[in-house]
Amino acid sequence: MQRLRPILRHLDLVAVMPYVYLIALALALYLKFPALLTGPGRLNTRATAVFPLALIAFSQTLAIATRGIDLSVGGLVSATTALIATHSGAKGFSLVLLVVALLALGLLAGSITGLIVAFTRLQPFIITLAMWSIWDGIAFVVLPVEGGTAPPGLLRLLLGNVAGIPKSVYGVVFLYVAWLWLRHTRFVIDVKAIGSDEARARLVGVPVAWRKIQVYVLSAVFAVLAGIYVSAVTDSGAPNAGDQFILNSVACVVIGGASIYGGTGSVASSIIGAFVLLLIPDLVFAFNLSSFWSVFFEGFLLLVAVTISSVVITFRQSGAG
Amino acid sequence: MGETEQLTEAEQSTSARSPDLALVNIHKSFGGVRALVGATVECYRGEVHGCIGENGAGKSTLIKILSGALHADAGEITLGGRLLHVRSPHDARKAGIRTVFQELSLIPHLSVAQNLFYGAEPDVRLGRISVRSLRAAARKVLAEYGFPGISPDLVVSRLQLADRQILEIIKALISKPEVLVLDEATSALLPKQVEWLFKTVREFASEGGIAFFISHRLAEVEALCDRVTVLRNGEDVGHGLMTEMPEDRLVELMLGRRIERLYPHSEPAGRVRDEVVVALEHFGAPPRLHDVSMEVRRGQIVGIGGLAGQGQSELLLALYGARRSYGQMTLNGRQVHLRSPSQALASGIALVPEDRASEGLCLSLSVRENLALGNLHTISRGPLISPRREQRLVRSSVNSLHIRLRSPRQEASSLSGGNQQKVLLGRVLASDPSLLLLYDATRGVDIGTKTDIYQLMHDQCEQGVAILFYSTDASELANMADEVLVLHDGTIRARLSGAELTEEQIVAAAVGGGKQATRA
Amino acid sequence: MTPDGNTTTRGTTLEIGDLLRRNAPIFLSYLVVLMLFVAGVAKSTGFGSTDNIRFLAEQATFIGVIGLGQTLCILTGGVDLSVPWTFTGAAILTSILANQHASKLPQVLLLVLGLAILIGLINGIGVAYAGVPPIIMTLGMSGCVEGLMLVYTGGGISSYPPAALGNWVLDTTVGLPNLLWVWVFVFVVGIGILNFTTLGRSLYAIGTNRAAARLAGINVRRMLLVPYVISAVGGAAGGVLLMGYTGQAYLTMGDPYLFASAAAVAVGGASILGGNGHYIGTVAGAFVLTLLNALLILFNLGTGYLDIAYGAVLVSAAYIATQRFSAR
Repeated sequence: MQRLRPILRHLDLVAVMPYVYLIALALALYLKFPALLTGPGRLNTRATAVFPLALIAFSQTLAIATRGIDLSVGGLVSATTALIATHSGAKGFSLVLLVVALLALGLLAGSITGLIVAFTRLQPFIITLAMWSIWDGIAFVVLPVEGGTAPPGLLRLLLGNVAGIPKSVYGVVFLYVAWLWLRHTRFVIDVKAIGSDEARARLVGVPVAWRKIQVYVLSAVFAVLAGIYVSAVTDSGAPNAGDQFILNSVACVVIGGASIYGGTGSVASSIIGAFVLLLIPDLVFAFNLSSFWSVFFEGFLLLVAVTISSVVITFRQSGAG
Repeated sequence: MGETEQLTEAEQSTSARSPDLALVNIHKSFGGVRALVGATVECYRGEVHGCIGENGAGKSTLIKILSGALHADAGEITLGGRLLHVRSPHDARKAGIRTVFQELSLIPHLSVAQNLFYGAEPDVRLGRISVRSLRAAARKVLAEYGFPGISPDLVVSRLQLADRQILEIIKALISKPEVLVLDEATSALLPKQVEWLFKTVREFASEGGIAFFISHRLAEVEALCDRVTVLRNGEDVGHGLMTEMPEDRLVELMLGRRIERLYPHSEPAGRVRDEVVVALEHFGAPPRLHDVSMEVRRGQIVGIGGLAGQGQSELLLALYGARRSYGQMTLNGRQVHLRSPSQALASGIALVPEDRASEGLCLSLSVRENLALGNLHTISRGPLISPRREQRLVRSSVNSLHIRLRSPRQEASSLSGGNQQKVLLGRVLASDPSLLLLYDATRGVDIGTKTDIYQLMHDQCEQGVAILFYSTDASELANMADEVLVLHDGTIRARLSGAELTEEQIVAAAVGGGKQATRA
Repeated sequence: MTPDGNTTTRGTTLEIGDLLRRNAPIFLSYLVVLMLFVAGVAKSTGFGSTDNIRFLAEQATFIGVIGLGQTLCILTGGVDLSVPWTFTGAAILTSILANQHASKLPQVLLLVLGLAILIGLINGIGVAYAGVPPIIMTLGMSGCVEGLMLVYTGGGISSYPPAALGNWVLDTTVGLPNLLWVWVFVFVVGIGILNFTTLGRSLYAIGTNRAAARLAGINVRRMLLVPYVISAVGGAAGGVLLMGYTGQAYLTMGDPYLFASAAAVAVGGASILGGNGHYIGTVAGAFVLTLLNALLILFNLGTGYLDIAYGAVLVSAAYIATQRFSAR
């Protein structure tokens, strides 16, 4: 154990961990049922499933990097699908209006959350838990039962291929590339500084409150975007459409190697984490288990990943002064 | 009032010119404790000004006021003749004051380059920082200051403490400040790095800056500074050019004349028994305690001295089972290896921790609840707490320690610092320990409470309790302890007792001079 | 230099003053209960009838029962997000097993209790020994239990809850339904633990200042297991009771109880930052939320509005609590 310590201390978890999980799970799938991994059409299905999760994992990475968390994304996704489903007749200009209105709603939601996080001593989890409840409630009020359809215009816009490649693939690639550019901006550096040591960040001049607000606004807007996409993919709305995204987005970030205590994180790694997580339904199918086992294993993988992460972090810290 | 040094002719001519940086008549109190009582420091451009004093003299409070982390209750600060209103660290930075604190300000998860240039990155377009130019700028700066070896992309938390301290200093310098304040900046540096620091600070001063160097390492202040101010008990008791202040005069000013009545009189011969309560053989605790062999007898008071960070904290915490340790520990004749504080308590060892606010008391709980905390098994029958026994515990603690309070139900946070410390002591003593560990027990406590605590220590020893206490106050060590072990670099550098046990010897051993340990 | 032996005093000089000040939020929350009740009576006179009061108390029981565990978790600086699924899981499991083994209800309940304890232990071990943040640990656990329940039931439940359970729950003993007696029992246990046991003191210490608690000799890690075990057991009990009360067990029955339990604790004046609060306050919180629900129904607003109300109440109550504690 003693010899492991220097190796562990210098290991860049964010760079390495997601690939460890990816290789482990992809290998297992490949050995058991290769067609599910590399078969035709798999890329499309996979990217379509990954894209909304990647969107939410993007902003969740930033929230967790500030030592916070956003539990309200689930509620926002649900509310968005509910609102779209009840406006399935929208087309042309009214469709644009609908989307703009939804984004404005996201902006509002994120601003409220962000302001409360920035200016009170309340922890983000309690604030976003409350917001989750509020948005969930709104989703129920708007659409008590699953149903409705998505506006055809939306389906045309978001689904299908461009130059033979699924639009969702473009989406994921875009997020990945966007991160490569963003990670060197003052914004992201500030976000990590806040999670690393908020008191010192303030001392050094980081605009802590403003950054926190930006993070939660981004989170809400991305949740709305994800909700719009989910609407199109499922061609319906549901008052609990967003629930799975909460646990899953946090799992992406943890599998991506980020510390749950903040200061680190990479959206690129979280996106890999999304791919890892979404291998689970395939694995479940490959092993001939009921599809409901996916839910269990997603939770289980989160627990395993976060335990490994916590243990490694404690291990590293116990050696230092 | 303390004595002020008479001005020599040379000094008179310099100080005919008004000081470039002056902190005049600064007062600051925390609750009942007066940290600064009219301290005045006058610095000049082109000079390195040293500020020395023992722990508790007020040095770090003064620095915090200068850098905007605290507000003075009274007094004023002038820079270049202008009155400064420093209400926040931001104001201080704007005024051109850069402080290198003991408590570093580097952000652990960011890289060397990011930390060095935060807020002033060389190439920023659309909010995006050019990594390449940042790296190049960092490399240039590091080479310029003589540290080409540190990689700019390395995450700061992976650096050694000494390198972090150097980085902090470079960071302060690259912003070309008017005033550079260094608070115990050499505490983690190796001798070669200390030389580098001196050279760099002298260059800074010669280019017209004002350097303010706080330390309690006398040798360093003598080597680096042109002018010196001595603080004691919150006021300046002497100042002058370094060339006109010999070492023994400085030491005398630092220590001053103590009120001998502060310390109770007690004959060690009468109370120290032969029986050894705890004995350590090649005992160590990572990261800073390496090899310590010592023993404490019943009724004996052993003091631990030395500069901060030499392993004292590890020693006390490891003895209490709160830190991992290696080596041999014998308690009342039996070899033990304590793995937790509850084990230690059960074996008769009790600890008064360093920071009563963060490690000692639960401030939002009541006094009664705090007193009961470490003694739950004695005031309970099975899982239930017996209110009568608790009442008895509270009453006896409050009475025997003369704790001034309105009611045991009041919150611990509403008591004065001294009374809070007494509550902590009361809780610890109620467990009837055979070995009492005290970590800087009189820090931040008023004189009256200090006297009470000293008396308490003697009373406990009369009853056969062994006491091991760490103090940053050399006078306290000299007057209270039967034997003092001065730690340096995780080992015992000097064992002082009898006639050799004086404040001067303790301070000397701590900073590197004086009598060395002759016994193994 | 004058010795400073005087304490800084605020408020009255009587001990009662201290007691009142420290427990102000709890008194406040009971005041809110009263105000909401009066609002209900104002809207509809039947609201104030003894029947209705008993009905409201019964409704509040479920929040109250799971509220004890959540109070303890929040007191020690954590939270239990897996409550809705121990709640639902216990109910469904009991229902299915009791139907398969008709006359063995007590054994079934014992098994369910054992499983709940196991879930609580896993949560507690993760939080206390592996250092996993409680939100994540219980969130993950929630997913695991949900998954297992979905697998076990195949996505839908097709058996009826045991009649014996329903009968017992609704039966009255000495005038009160057994359901309420369960809450009384939980209440006694809660007050007992928090006020009279070494465990309670230790939990307050851990929540206030974990480092100090450890240095005072408290075995922090072992103590931290307790809130999560109690929370899981309370969750299971709540689910079983609700099933007995309504005669139904379905997969989404636990959903509203997550927000409800956290909101009840917050309303009760517990600082979400840990170290402050008491179950007595949570009881008031349970009533506040139940009354809110009843009022919403009176105004013809459905479940969606309840969730919105829970969220708004949670964040405002938590905010008020921090204001109170930052005043010192």
